[in-house]
Amino acid sequence: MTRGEARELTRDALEAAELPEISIQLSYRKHGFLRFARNQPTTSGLTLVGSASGTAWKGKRKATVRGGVDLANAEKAA
Amino acid sequence: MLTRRSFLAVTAAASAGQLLAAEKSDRDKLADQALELAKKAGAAYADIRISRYDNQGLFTREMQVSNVVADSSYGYGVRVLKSGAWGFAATNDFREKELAAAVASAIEIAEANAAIKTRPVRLAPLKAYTADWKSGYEIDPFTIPLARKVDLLMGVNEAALGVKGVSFVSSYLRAVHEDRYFASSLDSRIQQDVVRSHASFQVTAVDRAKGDSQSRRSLMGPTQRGWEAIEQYPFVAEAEQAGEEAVAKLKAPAVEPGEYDLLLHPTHLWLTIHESCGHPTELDRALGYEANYAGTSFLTPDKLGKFRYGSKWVNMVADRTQPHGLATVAYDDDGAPAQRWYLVREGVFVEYQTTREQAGLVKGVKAHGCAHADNWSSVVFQRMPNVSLDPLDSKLTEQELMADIKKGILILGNGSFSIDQQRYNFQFGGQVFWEIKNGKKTRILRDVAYQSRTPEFWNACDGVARREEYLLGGAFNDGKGEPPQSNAVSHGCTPARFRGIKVISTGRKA
Repeated sequence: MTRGEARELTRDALEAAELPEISIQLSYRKHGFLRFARNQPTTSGLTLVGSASGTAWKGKRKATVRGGVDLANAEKAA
Repeated sequence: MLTRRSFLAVTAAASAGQLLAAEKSDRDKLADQALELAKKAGAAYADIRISRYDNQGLFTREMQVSNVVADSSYGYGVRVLKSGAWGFAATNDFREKELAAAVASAIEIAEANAAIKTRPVRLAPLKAYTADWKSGYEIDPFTIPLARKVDLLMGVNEAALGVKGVSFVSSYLRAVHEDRYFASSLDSRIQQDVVRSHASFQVTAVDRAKGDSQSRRSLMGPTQRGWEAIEQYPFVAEAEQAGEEAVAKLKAPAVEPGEYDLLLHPTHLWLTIHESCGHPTELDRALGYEANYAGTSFLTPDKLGKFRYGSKWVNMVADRTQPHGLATVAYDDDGAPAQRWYLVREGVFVEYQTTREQAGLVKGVKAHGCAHADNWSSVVFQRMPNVSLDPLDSKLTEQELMADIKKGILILGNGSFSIDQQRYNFQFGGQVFWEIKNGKKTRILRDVAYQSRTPEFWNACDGVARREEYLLGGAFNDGKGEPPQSNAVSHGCTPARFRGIKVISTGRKA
C-alpha cells in the first residue's frame, strides 16, 4: 500500500467518523520465530497477520479500535 | 507483497461476514481441509484452532474518560507434528490458497526442527472429543452499552473523590470474549465460548506538605464471569472505604520491622500462591525449557513426591474445572479434558502442571491438560491452571485464626512484590495492613512488606479458614514465553495464618 492510498483511506475514515482527529494504522506482519531450549527446538512458527487500528480523539478523550474486521468499515472503526 | 487491493479484499470480506465463519459447519470444513492437507504432507498429528478474540477496555481518571479500547481478531493456527518435531503457522487470511500455504509452512518448519532436534516429541494418548462448551457467565459484557459502563466507573470516581483528603482516582473496566474452535487429526471437534470480566480502581491521597502519598486499589479479582459480576460487586461502597483507608495510611505509623504472625486475606494471598507455587510447579520451568518472565524453578524433579513444601495445612490444588476460574476450560488446546489434581498434598510436593507432550519427560508425571495459546496466532505450550490453597475440611474462621495472634498483621490486597528466578526468596507488599494485638485488630499500619523463602513460608502456615470464607483472586494477564503470551489465571484460598514471618518497613530510609 502506498502513502497516497493510506492517506485516501484515512480521509474516508475521517469523514465517516465526523470527528476532528483520527489516525488509521494498517499493517501486514510476517513473523517467523524459532526458539531453542536445552538444545531442542521448542516454540517455533510463522505468522502472517493483516491488521488495522483506528484511534479517534475528542478533547482529552481517546478511543481505539483494532482488528482486521474493522478496517473495511471506517465508520465502525471511528 | 500485499497490495492495497488484496489487503482490502481480506478486510472487506471481514465486514461482509466471510471472515466471521461463525457457523460451525464452516469451521468444520476449514478444519477438514487443513487436517487433510497436513496428513497428505506426512504429519503424524495435526490440529487447527480457529478463534475470534474480542477485548474491550474503558479507562477513567478524575471523572474523565481517558480512553476506550476495542480489539478484535479472528484467524487460525495450524500445528503439525512430523518426524518427531512441531511446526506451526497462523494467518487471518481465510482464502483457500492461504490455508494451503499455512499448512505447507507448518510442515516445512516441522521438517526443519526435526533435522536439529535432540529428542522426538512424544504425545500422551488421548481420545477424540466432540463438545460445545460455554463458560459460566450470564450476561455477555459486550452487550452492555458503553454509556452504562462509563456510568459505573463515574460512580466509583465520584465516591472516591468525595472522601476528604483524596486527590486522585483512576478506574478501568475490561471485558474479554473468546470464541474458540479446535479440531485435530484425532477427530476431535471442540467449540468453547469464554467470557472474562474485571473492573478495578486506585484511589490516592496526597499530603502535599510532607510530599507524601498513599494509594489503595480495589480488592475485586478478575473473574470468568460476565457483566453480572461487575454489577453485583459493591464498587461505590468500596471506593469510599478505599478513600478513607488511603487517607488513614497517610497518617498511619510505619510498621516496626521484625517478626510477626501474618493473617493473609484471600485478596492478598492469591498472588503469593501464584508466584511461589503456581510458577515453580510448571514442569517446563523445572526442567529448564522455559525461563521467560518467571525464571526456572527450585522444585526440580528429584524433589517430586518427597519434598516438604509446606505444613500439613498446605494443600495446593490445580484445577481447570473450577467454576469462574480464569483458566477454566472444558478442554485444553491439545484437546484434552480439563482436570483437577494436587500439586502439594498435606505439605508434600506431589505433581507438576503438564501438557500431553510433557507427560513423558519425567518418570511418573502424568498429562494434566495445561496446553494453552493466548491467540490463534500463538504457539500452544504449557500454561498455568487455576492453582489454589484448598481448605479441605477446616472448621476454623478468620476470627478464630486472629484470636490466637499476639503480635501480628492482617494484610488485604496485593501490592508490589519481588521473587527470585527459582521462585525461592521473595518479598510481598499489600494494600491494607491492620496491626493485630492480642487477638484483635487495632490500627492501620503502612509500609509493610514481608520476606521469606518459599518452603519456610509455607511450612510456617498453621491454619487456614473454612471453605465458607473462600475467595478467588487472580491475574488477567500472566506473561510467559517467547514470543510473549498472556494467560488469565485464578488463585483461590481462605484466610490463612503464618507464624513468625520477617516483616520490613518499605518506607524506611537508609
